[in-house]
Order: sequence, then structure tokens, then C-alpha cells
Amino acid sequence: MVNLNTIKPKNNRNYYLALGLEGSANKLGVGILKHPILPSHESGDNSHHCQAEILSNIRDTYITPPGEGFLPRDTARHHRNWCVRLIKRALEEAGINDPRNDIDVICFTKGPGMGAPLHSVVIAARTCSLMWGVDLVGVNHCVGHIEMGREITQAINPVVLYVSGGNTQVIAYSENRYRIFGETLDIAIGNCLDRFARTLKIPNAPSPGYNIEQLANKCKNKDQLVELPYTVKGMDLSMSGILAYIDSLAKDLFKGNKKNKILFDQKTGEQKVTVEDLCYSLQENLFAMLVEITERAMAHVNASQVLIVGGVGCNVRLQEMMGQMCKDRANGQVHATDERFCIDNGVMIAQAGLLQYRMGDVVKDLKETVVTQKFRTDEVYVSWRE
Amino acid sequence: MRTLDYTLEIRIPFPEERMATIAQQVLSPDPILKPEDFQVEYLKPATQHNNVLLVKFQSIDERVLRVGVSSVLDSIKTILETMDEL
Amino acid sequence: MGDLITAKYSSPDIPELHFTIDVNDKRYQTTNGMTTGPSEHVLNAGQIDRDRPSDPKLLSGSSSDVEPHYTELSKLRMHLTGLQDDINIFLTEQMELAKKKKIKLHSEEEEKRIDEEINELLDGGDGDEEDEDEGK
Repeated sequence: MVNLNTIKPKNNRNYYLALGLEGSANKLGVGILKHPILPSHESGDNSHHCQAEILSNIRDTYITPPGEGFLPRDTARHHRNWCVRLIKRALEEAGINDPRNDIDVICFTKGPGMGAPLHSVVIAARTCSLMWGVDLVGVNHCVGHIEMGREITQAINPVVLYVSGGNTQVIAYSENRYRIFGETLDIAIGNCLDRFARTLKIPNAPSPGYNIEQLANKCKNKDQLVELPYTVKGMDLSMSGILAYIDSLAKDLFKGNKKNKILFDQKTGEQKVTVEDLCYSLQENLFAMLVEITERAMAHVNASQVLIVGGVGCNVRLQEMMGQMCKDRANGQVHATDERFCIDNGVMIAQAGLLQYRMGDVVKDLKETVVTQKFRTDEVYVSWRE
Repeated sequence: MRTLDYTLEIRIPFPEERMATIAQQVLSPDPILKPEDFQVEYLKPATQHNNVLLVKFQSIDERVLRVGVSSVLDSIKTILETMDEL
Repeated sequence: MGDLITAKYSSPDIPELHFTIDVNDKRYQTTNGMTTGPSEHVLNAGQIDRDRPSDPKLLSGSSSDVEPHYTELSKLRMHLTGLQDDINIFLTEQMELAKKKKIKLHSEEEEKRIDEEINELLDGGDGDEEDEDEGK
């Protein structure tokens, strides 16, 4: 039995308020979250049922010109120069005038992610904590995604597919840990899609992955998939080979390299494959691999539900393919959140952080707030679940 | 072992003592990557008024010094803005 | 005139050099430094900068049209911005001078190591071996 009301809200309030700060990649997110104190939380296993109320969810994304990725130092500059303004706006939106007394805990992303951007945010977090006399809690970015997904979708013990620009993991909960059952052996799927978007020089706004998805939707040759390497390796998968290959196809297409049999008819020289076809085939290939390793994990833990979290989880085609597999396999369902929550945001950090806080986890020395680029999901002790 | 011959000391008077203390506490936790090349200390020495933060940098050359100093000053600007606006 | 920020530099060539703030000089009256813009690389790729630092905070009752009065913390932030530019520009000049004199302080290997270390400092590495291609 888990008592989520171990730590009480400040000032005899009957609700908790958490400020969440996220900046591990190019999205800077500030969120303010409220948890009512519920009798059902005294015992039982109800951390996915917090009746969480979102008082503000503000995000600003650092976007680079087409063909460019985001460099850590410029991303850190973006976060540094925007974080105070966003925190101020979030407090105003949430109607908080007295953070010292109104806020129970400041939650920040400790890792994993890009070092300098994470650091930009933690400087502001520490300062607010000391100024207001409010406790700090460091949160694992992935656990933030998982807990937000659980709360929004109410999925019961799903296998979690965490897919973003920086991460690709298949996770299942077991004995107070989010255990990694399968993952990428090289690059994350979001990174693969983002880098292909750069090769194609398509805009990075609102996100390169979104623009790839739109191009894929426009494909008129869905029956004629461009054959790509399929690189599932047991429970894991690899994607850098696929990226290298499809990058070379795109380059040949742009150069008009007629010798490429896949792209050009060898007799007439006519172009057989378009950019839309490449985007479609890439998605189908990558997503099929994700479906396979997710299914493998489901078999291991006897699960019928899948929860997709992380920015790539916004992709409708991925949700469709995963949903079909769940239905076929176990008459189960796929769960996903919308772009407010699948894309990095501050509220998810507040959600996970508040659960940690309520169980008594709190920073006692600022040395604990040093950010870290590497922070595996299974390093976190999930005290708030049975 | 090279000596850290290139030094910079910045003296920052804050409007109030507690602000200088907060700045010192916010800056101190982060470890230095390569202490043999670059070091920084955040001090509130008794020889100064209690609203003063002294930041002492030592480095093996101008380039590492410049990068380290500018990075710390960026953090201090964030601390100042946070204290001003929130 | 309040107590202002000062800095003191020392090196094998320069025993002591002082930096001071001139509150009447425009370079100490802005939060947007000359040396803290976006990196060259993105500017060359056509980036329009929308991430400049926020404006200084006006004292209540003050307006920015007439003689604006800013909070002490904002003034400090602007002074620091100007000083940061001064230090960055000075140290860059020193580096150029050293290069011209062809004074080799470090071996080529050391140079490479320092280059990598500078990149790690700028990008916020943990000090572990990193092969991540985050965003690159």
C-alpha cells in the first residue's frame, strides 16, 4: 500500500501546487499543476488518478533554419533568455501571487538531455527555490513523460513506448522501477526523422517530424514501398544504417542521379520515387520496427495496453499501426496524449515531481541539483507505485 | 602540471546581502570539468561588505578563461533577472 | 554613484589590468550584449534572432519614454552585460596577439584537448565521453 499523502500540502491547504520546469532539448516548458488531496491516495495504487488540474502549460521552442539542427549553446541561450519570462507568465496565468506560500515544490528536469540547456533552467530553478524558500525536486525527463501519459490516459499498467528526438525505449513497470525492455542501439527515432528532414531541407517549424508526417500523408504510391533496411535486433533496434541509406537516396534524387535504379526508370530516365514516397516509406519502416519491439515486450509482461509518450508519439500513423497490433494481439488499446503533453512540457515534470515530493523525495543539498546528460529511466526508484 | 597563470577577479555588489548569498549558493554546486585547466571560486570574504560577491577565476590560457568567465556571467545574469522579476 | 562592479585581470604578460563600468556609456545600458548573440553558424544559415535577453525592468511609476528609471537589479544586469562584452573582447584580442607572436603555449595535442574542453564547457558536458548527436 502506498500513501501518496505522506507529505502534506503547505499551510493546511487541501491541494498541492507544483511548478514544473523542462529544458532538456529545444523546448522550454513551464507548467503549474494542482493535485487535490484525496482520501483514495492514503493507500492503494492510485498514482495515475491524481485528478490533476493544469493551471498553466507554457512552452517556447527554439527553432533553427531549414537544414540546421539545434546546437547546445544556442539552445542554452534560448532557455536562459526566455525562462524568467515564461515562469512569470505561468504564475500570472495560474493566479499565483505569493509563490512562497502558494507553491509546494519546484520540479526541474535533472536529466537526461543536453547539458548546457538543462543547466540554464536549473539556475533559474535554484534561484526561485532560495528566493521563495520552496523545496526543489529533480525529475527524470522520461519518467515525466510516463507519469503525464498515465494521468492523462488512465491506462492501466501499459507497456510504454517512449519515442522522441533524444530517446527510444520500450518500458514496462516492475517492482518500483520503469524497466527498459528494448531500446535503440544507436540514434533515437526522432533524431533519425529530424536529420532526414534536414537532408530534405524542410522547415523546422512547428517541428521537423510533423513536416515529415505531412509529406508522408501526401504520398500517392503507398503500395510501392521503397525498400529500406529493417534492423530490429532482438528486443532492440538500430536506425543509423537506415538514416544513412535514405539520406543517400534523397541526395541522389536531388542530384538527379539517373543511375539509381530505385529512383529512376533505367530505360526512360523517368523519376519513379518522390520525396513524399521516401517520407512515407521511412515512417512505415521505422514504425513497423517499433511495433515489433513493443509487441515483444508485451509478450514478456503479458500486457495488452500500450502507452506512447514523447514527441514522436504525436504521429497519427504510429498510433494507428500500434493500435492495430494491440487489437490483433490482445484485444488491447493504444493510448496517446495530444501535442500539449507528448511534446516536452513543464507540466509533465510537475506531475512526476509532485508524486516524488508527496512520497518524501526532496532536495536537501543543492549539490543534488547538478544536471546530467545521461540518466537512465530505470535509475529512478518509483516510490509512488506498488 | 601547468600553473593557472591567467586570472580574473570580478567584484559584484548586490543591492542586498541576501541576494549575494543566494547568488553564491546557486552558482556553487556545479563541478568544474577539468580543474587542472580552469577553476572558479565564489566568495563572500569578510574583507568586503556583506552584499559583495567575489568571483575568482584561474585558467591555463585566455581562451579557456574567456569561455569559463562568459558562462558564469550568463548564469549570474539569469540569477539577477530571476530575483528582479519573480 | 553607487558601488559598481569591477574586475581585475592578471597574466604572465600583464601583471594587473582593471575593468570598470562607465554608467553613462551606452554599452552598459543594455541587456543585449554584443558578444552574447547567436553563434556564427546559425546566423550564417539565416537565423533571425528572436531570443534576445529580456528588457530591463522599469521602476514602478517610470516610463521608458522620458528618463527611464530601472530597478537596481536591472542596472546590475546591464552593467554586467557591458562588462562581459569588455572581457570577451579583451581576451579575444589577447588570443589574437598571442597567435601573431606565434607564441605556442601548448603542444598541438594540448590544443586539441583544450578545443574539445571548450566545446564541452559551452555545450555543458558531464565530462564523460560523449558521442551523442543530439540535434546535430
